[in-house]
Amino acid sequence: MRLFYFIKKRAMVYLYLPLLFCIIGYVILYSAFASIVMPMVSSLNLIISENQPNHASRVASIFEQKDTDDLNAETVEEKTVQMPVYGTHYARLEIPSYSIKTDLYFGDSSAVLKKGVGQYLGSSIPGYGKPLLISGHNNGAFGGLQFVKDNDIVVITTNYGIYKYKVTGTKIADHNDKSAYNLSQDKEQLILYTCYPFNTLGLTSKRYFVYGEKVSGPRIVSNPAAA
Amino acid sequence: MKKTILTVICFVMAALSITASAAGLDTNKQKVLDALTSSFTVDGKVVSLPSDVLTQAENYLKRDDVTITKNQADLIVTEVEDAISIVKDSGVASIAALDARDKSAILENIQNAAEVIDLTVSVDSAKSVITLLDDKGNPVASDEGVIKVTGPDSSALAVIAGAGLALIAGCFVAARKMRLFSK
Repeated sequence: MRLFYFIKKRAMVYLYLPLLFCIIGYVILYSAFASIVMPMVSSLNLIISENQPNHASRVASIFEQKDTDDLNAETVEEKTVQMPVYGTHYARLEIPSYSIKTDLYFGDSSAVLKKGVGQYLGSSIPGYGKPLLISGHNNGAFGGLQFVKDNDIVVITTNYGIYKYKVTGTKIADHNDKSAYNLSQDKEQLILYTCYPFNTLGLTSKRYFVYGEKVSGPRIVSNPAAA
Repeated sequence: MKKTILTVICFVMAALSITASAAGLDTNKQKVLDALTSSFTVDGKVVSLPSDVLTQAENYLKRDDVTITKNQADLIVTEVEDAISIVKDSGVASIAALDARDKSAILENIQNAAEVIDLTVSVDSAKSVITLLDDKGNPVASDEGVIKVTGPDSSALAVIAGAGLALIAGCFVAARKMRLFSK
């Protein structure tokens, strides 16, 4: 009887509150680490799943991995090039020296940058001889930009050509510093950037820029005969 | 007669091949782009649209799913010319320096031009950002900042942690009030 009375009186202290704190603790931990745990769970599912995954409905993509000599031609006819719509995965970006491999999307909204690296709408796609401005998260694919050195090669593979750019320099600048990029130049300069410092949690005003010049890749021409 | 028919067919085929070009610009699209690229001088300063805005327009016009008829191109060019004359008449060298009445007149020109090709204009007054959206809601062009946020956003984590702490503090206070810690 005494034991029953004790349990009834102390239930809040020894049962309900610890249970409540436990649940709250798990919710907080889950919310904090969901972004790290979920990809691991997905990868595990990929290994143990019997069915082939289908991501077509989730990601708009026009990129198809091809392995032909056409991708290394000197020119490509403009009418064979498909201009991507905002948020579309249209190419693959690689920096082989550091095993950086990521999908390149057209557009750079926060939703796009969660999936891969994104190209600013106001810059041109490879081959037009105009600058490309590409951003990515420093806790994602572009975390490796901190190791990139001069003369490293950045490769962008599209459906119509493989483009190689040689790194010419890096720069740390404020996000409002317009001298860090020149989008009006008539030169195919590759500009990659991410937040700086690399290991900071939260938002920063500085950006780490990596610049590259085009080494190879087909020029997009409206009339190949004239080119 | 046969020769005439053949000539007409060749002409029609050639015209169709121009309008059906994939990433290129046909005559009508080029006309719109030319109107947007036009510049003029105010007090010795060249006034034109920023190069990144022009590239956004060019990228949109090069899309396969975008077709512009001659009539649509003419209507858009008229709106662009109206907007240019507003800036010219105001005598200022940048859109930012325009007064509120001129700014809203130019916004109307943008809305009218967008409507011609089924684009919608979204205005974020708080950030002073104008965005053109296509019929699926995808951004087509925007004067939003060029450089984006590319660091981990820990604000959600901070909110969750704050809420968790507040909840724990609440539980503690409630337990104290109910004298659950007394022997």
